Amino acid sequence: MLSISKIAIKKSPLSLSSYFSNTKPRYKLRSHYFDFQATSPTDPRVLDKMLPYMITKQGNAHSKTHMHGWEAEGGVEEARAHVSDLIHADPKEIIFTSGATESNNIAIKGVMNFLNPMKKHVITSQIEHKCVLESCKLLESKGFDVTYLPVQRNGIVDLGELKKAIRPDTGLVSIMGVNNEIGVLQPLKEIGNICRSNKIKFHTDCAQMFGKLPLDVNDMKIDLMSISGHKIYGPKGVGALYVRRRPRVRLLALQSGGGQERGIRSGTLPSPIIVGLGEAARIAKNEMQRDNKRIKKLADKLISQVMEKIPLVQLNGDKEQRYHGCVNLSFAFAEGESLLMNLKDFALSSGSACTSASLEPSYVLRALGVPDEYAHSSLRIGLGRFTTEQEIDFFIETLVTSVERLREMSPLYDMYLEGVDFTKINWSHD
Amino acid sequence: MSLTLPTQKTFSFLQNTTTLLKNHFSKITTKQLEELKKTTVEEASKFTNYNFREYFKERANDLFDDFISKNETNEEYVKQFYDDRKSELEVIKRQVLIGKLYPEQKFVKEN
Repeated sequence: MLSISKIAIKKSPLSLSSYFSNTKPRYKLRSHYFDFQATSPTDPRVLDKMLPYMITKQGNAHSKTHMHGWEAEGGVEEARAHVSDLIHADPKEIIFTSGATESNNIAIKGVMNFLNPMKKHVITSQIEHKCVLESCKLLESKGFDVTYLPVQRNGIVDLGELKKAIRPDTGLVSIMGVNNEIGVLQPLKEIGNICRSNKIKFHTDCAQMFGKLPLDVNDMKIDLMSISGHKIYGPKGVGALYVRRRPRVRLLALQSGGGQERGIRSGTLPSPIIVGLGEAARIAKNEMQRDNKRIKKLADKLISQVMEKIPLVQLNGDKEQRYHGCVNLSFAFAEGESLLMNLKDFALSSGSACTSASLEPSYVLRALGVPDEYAHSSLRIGLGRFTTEQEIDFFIETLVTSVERLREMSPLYDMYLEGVDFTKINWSHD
Repeated sequence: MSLTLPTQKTFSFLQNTTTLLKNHFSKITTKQLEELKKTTVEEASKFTNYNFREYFKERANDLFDDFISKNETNEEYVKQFYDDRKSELEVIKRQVLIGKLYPEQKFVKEN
């Protein structure tokens, strides 16, 4: 750090920006993108729809007195209709937010703060997204009770456990639709029925499911749903929250202001990116079947070929009840970080939190009961609309070579091949 | 020679013929669809981004092949499909241009 500040002092202030600028490419070639659960590239059709709202139609959607405002408002309302159409909701039930994280916060904290002190209990699962778990932790510190439901070995919530956990003072159940790490699909219709029969509000984080799998808020009896824009080839920084109007879901707003978005989320609407979200939703509705067919074909090819060519590979999560674009594979005797370094031609995510300060494996894999040696060597491979078969073939080839190379270097693998029983080994040195 | 003014009958005959001719010439033929498919695939091949290029090419081929094989007789559906694909072609042309304005490095394995 000292050397950098010395350079800054010697040169003029303007050169600092050139030090951090992107004018010179840092990398020679781009890695193939296999991290669609983290984010997705903005579809060119979405960008095309957004650009006029950033160039000419720049008005504030709440300006009611001139054409600039009316134009922006028109774009926003059209986007609202597209988003609601995809989930069979009414456009008035869609609230635009800055993303699924904000939607989750509003849903959980807003509903429970409104129901306080009559209802003090929240039920969620152990494999929820961090923002849901952190919101629940905050509620716990404020005196609420939270039950974190365990999941079965296949990642799906046990409905019996959910029924047992329901108390007279349960106000909200929050279970995500598709998990971002393992891709399992929860039984939302059954959970919705249980919640409706017990008069409990049902919130679902559908950031990974919206626009990818069919959703019907009435059929699944969903009261609140979080939506993310950048997971469905839309722009980053926008999301939505579906808030049911019949029967009415009441909640206390987190953000105070001019009362926009039914008073639930005040603030000027970012019309360009909302228009982008609407267009992404419209495209998703038209392309869902075709995309899913393609992605399933590619995912099946990936899983079957990898399992055929290398032994001791485990697919985490249920095989059938999943979104096929999220493949989480664990490789025994091949460490996760080394595997990622060998696959530098691909943009991937590891199943463990190795990049964070702690060396603990991912809490999702731990909740599944995946043993530590598998959890440390897991890869999350994300497939999407723009993945090609050629990329999959290249990936399979490189992955197989990397895993074989790592296992050759692994003394533990040699011991496994010799038939050593690891449970009988005393690892401590005397 | 006496000049006779056109009667109501003549007007309605002319109107009917014009509508008939309009409908005949606005009918979208398979040849036109094939031409539009060829143009769309050509334009999509100009994307600088590998993933977009492959996706839009494959999508154009799939959509047009599926539609042409269906042999849709309802002219309205055919016109709707043709108009939708035409507007998408405009989008592709604009986005190809934008991609060229912001060039990036190639992917590791490009054809």
